[in-house]
Amino acid sequence: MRARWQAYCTIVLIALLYSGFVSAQSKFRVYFKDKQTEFNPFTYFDAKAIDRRVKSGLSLTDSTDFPVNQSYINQVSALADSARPASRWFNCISVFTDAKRAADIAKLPFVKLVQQLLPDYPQPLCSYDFDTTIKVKNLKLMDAQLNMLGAAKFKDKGIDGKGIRIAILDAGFPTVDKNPAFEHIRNDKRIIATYDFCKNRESVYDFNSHGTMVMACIGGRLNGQNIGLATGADFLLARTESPGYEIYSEEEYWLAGAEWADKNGADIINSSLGYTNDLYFRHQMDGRHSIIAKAATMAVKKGILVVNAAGNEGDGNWKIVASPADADSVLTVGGVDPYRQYHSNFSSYGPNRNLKMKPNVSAAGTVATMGERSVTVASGTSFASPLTAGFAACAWQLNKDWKNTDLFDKIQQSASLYPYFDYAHGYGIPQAGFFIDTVKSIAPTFTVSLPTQGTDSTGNYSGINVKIDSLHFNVDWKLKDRLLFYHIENTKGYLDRYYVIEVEEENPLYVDSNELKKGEMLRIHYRGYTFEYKQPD
Amino acid sequence: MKRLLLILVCIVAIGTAKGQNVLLEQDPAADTTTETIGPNLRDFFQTFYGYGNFIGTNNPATAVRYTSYHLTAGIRYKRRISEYYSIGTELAYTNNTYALKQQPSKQVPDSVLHKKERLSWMYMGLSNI
Repeated sequence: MRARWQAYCTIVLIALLYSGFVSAQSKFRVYFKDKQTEFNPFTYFDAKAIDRRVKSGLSLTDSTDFPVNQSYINQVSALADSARPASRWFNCISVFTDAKRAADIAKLPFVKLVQQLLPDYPQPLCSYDFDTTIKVKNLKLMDAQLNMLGAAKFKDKGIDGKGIRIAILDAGFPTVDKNPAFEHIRNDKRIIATYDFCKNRESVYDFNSHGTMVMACIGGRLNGQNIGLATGADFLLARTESPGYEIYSEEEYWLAGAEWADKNGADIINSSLGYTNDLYFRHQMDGRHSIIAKAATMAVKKGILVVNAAGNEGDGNWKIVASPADADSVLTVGGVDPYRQYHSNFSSYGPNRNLKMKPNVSAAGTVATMGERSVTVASGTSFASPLTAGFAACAWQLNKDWKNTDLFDKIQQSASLYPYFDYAHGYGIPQAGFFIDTVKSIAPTFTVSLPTQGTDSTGNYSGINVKIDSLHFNVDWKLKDRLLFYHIENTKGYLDRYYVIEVEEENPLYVDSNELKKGEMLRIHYRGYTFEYKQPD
Repeated sequence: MKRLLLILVCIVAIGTAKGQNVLLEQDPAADTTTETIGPNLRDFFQTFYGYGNFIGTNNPATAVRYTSYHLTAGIRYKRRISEYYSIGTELAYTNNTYALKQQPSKQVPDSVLHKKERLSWMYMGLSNI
């Protein structure tokens, strides 16, 4: 009996000692004062990365591209138990060590700053034969998710993203190395490189199938049916996300993944992830707080188009976009219903905290895609983002001399609502026709009776009436053809209120102009035509 | 009968009337406010409550029934003073009610046996956390 008690006590003691040891290990990010000065971009970068920089007018000897001084890494690593890959963009490295040794690191003459971070958590494993049948309802959905982007226009011209390199940063890509939906990509050896930043190894074909579904939405093809638009693109696959937990390390993996993508010549990064209330407050969603938003902004500065999902918090307490979708220069994609073509309730709203419009554009938030073993229906802005990334690759293939920022602007201009926008849809759904056809001016689809001063008993402006043109009014049309959007933009340039209404009668909207303040703008959009009215000063 | 007919006409009229069907309405101002009160923010208010029963062997002199309970409710305020630490105070109401077993060995509060007997203590207190 006594021996048993002694054994219990020993186990408890060891557990306590071990927990104390674990809690003593903390994570720190160490920023360096300077960098290695010898750098040859032609030996360091992939040729495509060089081409992108030249095309974007970027210096090939930008100091943010210089490698981190290996001597610094060695000296800091000597004072740590383990270290993450160093970031050349931010000239820093993350290490696990205790507080005393962190203080010693801070005293090193080349160290600029040591920041303590929150700890990491271990991740579970997951496993994975293929059913290649596409049910009729799934086939219908696949067609809807592509047709809303005008996919036939690209297909007719033979545009499939060829020559464009897309990096996917996600939570794992199980079966991509054997899945029939990616056979055309594997056969052409268009998976250029892979890296698992969570495990520090090359293979990415395990863990969460989210990445597999996302990749299918960019360039998957099954039984001759396209799932995404960029079936001819090149791919870089990086696992940066550990499913189940949202930890700061994932942001560092993302940063390392973005730098890796840059080095390997990515033109586009698709990132169907976001960080919210586990790590941040809503008021920090300004593109300047999180390291992932800063990394995304830096990737854009390197000439890469970063496409990111808005987030799935629209019907939750968080409600607004997640990070890095909050960064101004990231092409943030919201989710719409593939048939009704207006906002899916889960899609996160904008604006970001700088009051910049977010999301920028929208795509199908419910899709039919290839999963680990079979075709599956999935919902979330995670799938709207890759559909748009595939679209962007096709648009870029048509206009290879464009910079990433040109492409960003043109995708917005191509969208279904442009120049109208709101914080649920952005500029709407990008349209392939914009890049193929000659742009024609759109004839008015409705008329507006404007207010005249002094017509009511108080001498104020009267109301604004909208009358739908008879050619554009039919109650039997599908809902997507009967959506009327309107918003009120204040004098500071952002929206005070916005609405979507279903047109059920020829006079669907009356706005009391007395409710508009001086200088405020009322915009109304219906079936491609946008009308603007500014309240006189 | 006339009244029923009128109600039916009204129901049909409502069913066929078509007005403006608002599918989405948003007020972005409400989404752009900066919260100052809440979990992990500078100020945090939290309400709490609890209920418990007494367990263990009873002294025959003070034996209590299973209907005895401990009830507590209150409000807690926390102010964040650094990245990892907060100080705060809580105002709590606590009620400990003991249903005494009516048995010959009973001595608390006296040996007189009743059909039912309860002893209750109520507290209202302020404490720091």
